[in-house]
Amino acid sequence: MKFNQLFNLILLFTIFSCGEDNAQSFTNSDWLIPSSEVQDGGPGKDGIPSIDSPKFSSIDAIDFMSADDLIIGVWADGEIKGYPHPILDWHEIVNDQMGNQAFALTYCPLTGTAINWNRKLSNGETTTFGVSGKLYNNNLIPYDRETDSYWSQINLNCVNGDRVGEAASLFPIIETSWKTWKELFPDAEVLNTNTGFNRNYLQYPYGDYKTNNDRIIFPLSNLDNRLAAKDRVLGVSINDDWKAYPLSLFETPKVIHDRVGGEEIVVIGSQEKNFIVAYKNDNTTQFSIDLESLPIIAKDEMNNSLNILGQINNEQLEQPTSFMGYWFSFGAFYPDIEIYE
Amino acid sequence: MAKTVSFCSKVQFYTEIKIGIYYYVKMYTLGFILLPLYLVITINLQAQTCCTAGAPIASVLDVGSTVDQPLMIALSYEYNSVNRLVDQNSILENDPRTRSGQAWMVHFNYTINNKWAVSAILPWIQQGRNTLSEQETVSAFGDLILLGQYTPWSKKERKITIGLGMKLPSGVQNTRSDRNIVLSPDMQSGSGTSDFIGRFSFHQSHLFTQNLHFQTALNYRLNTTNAHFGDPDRINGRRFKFGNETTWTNMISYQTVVHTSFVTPEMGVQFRYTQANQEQGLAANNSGGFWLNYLMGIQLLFKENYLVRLSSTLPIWQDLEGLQITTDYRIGAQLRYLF
Repeated sequence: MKFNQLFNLILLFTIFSCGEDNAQSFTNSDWLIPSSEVQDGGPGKDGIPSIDSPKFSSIDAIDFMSADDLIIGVWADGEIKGYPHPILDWHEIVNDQMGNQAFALTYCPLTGTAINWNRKLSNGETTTFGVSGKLYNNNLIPYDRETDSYWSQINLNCVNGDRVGEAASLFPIIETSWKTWKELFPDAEVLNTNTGFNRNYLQYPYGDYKTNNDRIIFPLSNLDNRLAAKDRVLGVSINDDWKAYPLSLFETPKVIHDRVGGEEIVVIGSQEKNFIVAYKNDNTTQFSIDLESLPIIAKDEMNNSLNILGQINNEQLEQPTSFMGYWFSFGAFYPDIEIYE
Repeated sequence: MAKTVSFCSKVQFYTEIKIGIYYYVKMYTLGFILLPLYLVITINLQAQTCCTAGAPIASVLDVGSTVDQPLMIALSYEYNSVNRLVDQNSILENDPRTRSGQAWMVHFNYTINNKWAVSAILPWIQQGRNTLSEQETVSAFGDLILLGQYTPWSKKERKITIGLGMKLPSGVQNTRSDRNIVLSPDMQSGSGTSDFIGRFSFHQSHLFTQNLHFQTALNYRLNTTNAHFGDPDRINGRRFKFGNETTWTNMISYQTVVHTSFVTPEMGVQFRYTQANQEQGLAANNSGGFWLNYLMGIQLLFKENYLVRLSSTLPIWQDLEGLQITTDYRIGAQLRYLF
């Protein structure tokens, strides 16, 4: 009798279990990057919420930034706006528009890379980007909400989905400290904390991650020890050649005239002011450093002023593909990257 | 065989019937108040979750895991709603995520003699993660738990039990998403590791009155590192370790009789501490912390051999490392059959 009761209990449990949703999809998808090296960060798709209706304030109204906090500058049609790291740390993507320029400012806290993507895709559709919750080499994988395709931020292309293989179209940016930003653009508007989400923007969410060279959260395909992992560098790419310019090079503010991918560029930076920018220099103009009256950062032989946005004599120098980031991320994505010495 | 814990032996059952009837009139009203109150509270909770990989060990072991009958089999269900976004000790709003963990468990307990007992728990785990744009569900067998318990001291109404056990990696640790990406460790049904469990409990029957019982239990789970999470063949794989967990649970229960069944409301508090998880050998940000939980439940013993237990956990305070989505409530049900 008791064995019958035991059998009935087990049968009951089996039926109960089988009634549950065991559905799992194991559809294999094609990835341009090794899918075994793509990590699920944990929060899930859109678990880190992008900012899709950004709100801005004047500098005087911003009270959550300290002098050394970093900020990203984006400009278009004569307008410039600032996007503080302390907000980007929590949201990673801001979908915004200035004039006709629809862009997604993508930012990965783990690689320290901010890249400004064109939201208008090659088919003419304008999309928004969200945080997929997946990472490759510790780096953000945004997805476009138009086609649900997954893009690699530092790889600069679509790596999974309908748009696989399509290259990301970029807009220029600059990165600097809050202290310098206020000198550069005292009248610019800055993204404020009215994001629609309740977060502690005064607190950096990753502890000592910015400075601890041993803390790399997920596996890397290549760990390049030529520099310390968290050294901040400007990576510049032209014609598939990559070169890194460490911020420490600019302990003394300077102008570097260099060639990348067969093209002339000028790289200007200051460790104290906490910025490095690169522009194409097709005319091989010789610039000299001049930080006396920001946003002017250099003068040419004719004493014409070049500002930090690459504007000189009503001309706009072209910014090559370039962005700041932790050294380890460039070493992981582009093992052949050259370091300027 | 010494009858150690409360009402589970037949002899003690009928003895306590007499005692119970004595208190019947007094407790009848109390029972009628507590039971509906309990049901109202649990039913009105809004469903949501959090689970570490594998079975929710502590909650299974915390109460009533020691029985006097030679053989016990229990079927348990737990729903763990993880929908509270907490920044250290501040509850935040507007989180786009919901998480849930469900566990169906078969629990065997065999009492060898008045000193020794062994237990095994085999769970079936379902993890759920929902955001505004994606719903993911994983269902699979979880990690098998084996536990040996020893009673070094037992005296009439008091009993001390210590236990040692293991959590074995029978669960799945490489479930993939529909894009063929291995899901995060907390979404797997198993941790892929062999972990160790230590337990100490003290039970006091008939505290102050014949009907009041008290139990305190300390559980410790020592977790090990999964050096190849999700991909055992990859040399430079993801090294992940769930933080070690300590729980200290204190429960009081009041045994009464309603009609011919024993009805035992119970309540208590639980202190829970987990260390931070580890990624690549270093403490992971935004994991680990301290929780203070309020526990409430009720047991119904009927037809001599059947026991039904309903339980719930409500976090009443937490101090967590960084920002975490954490449990906002847990409910459970268990049906035990005593041979």
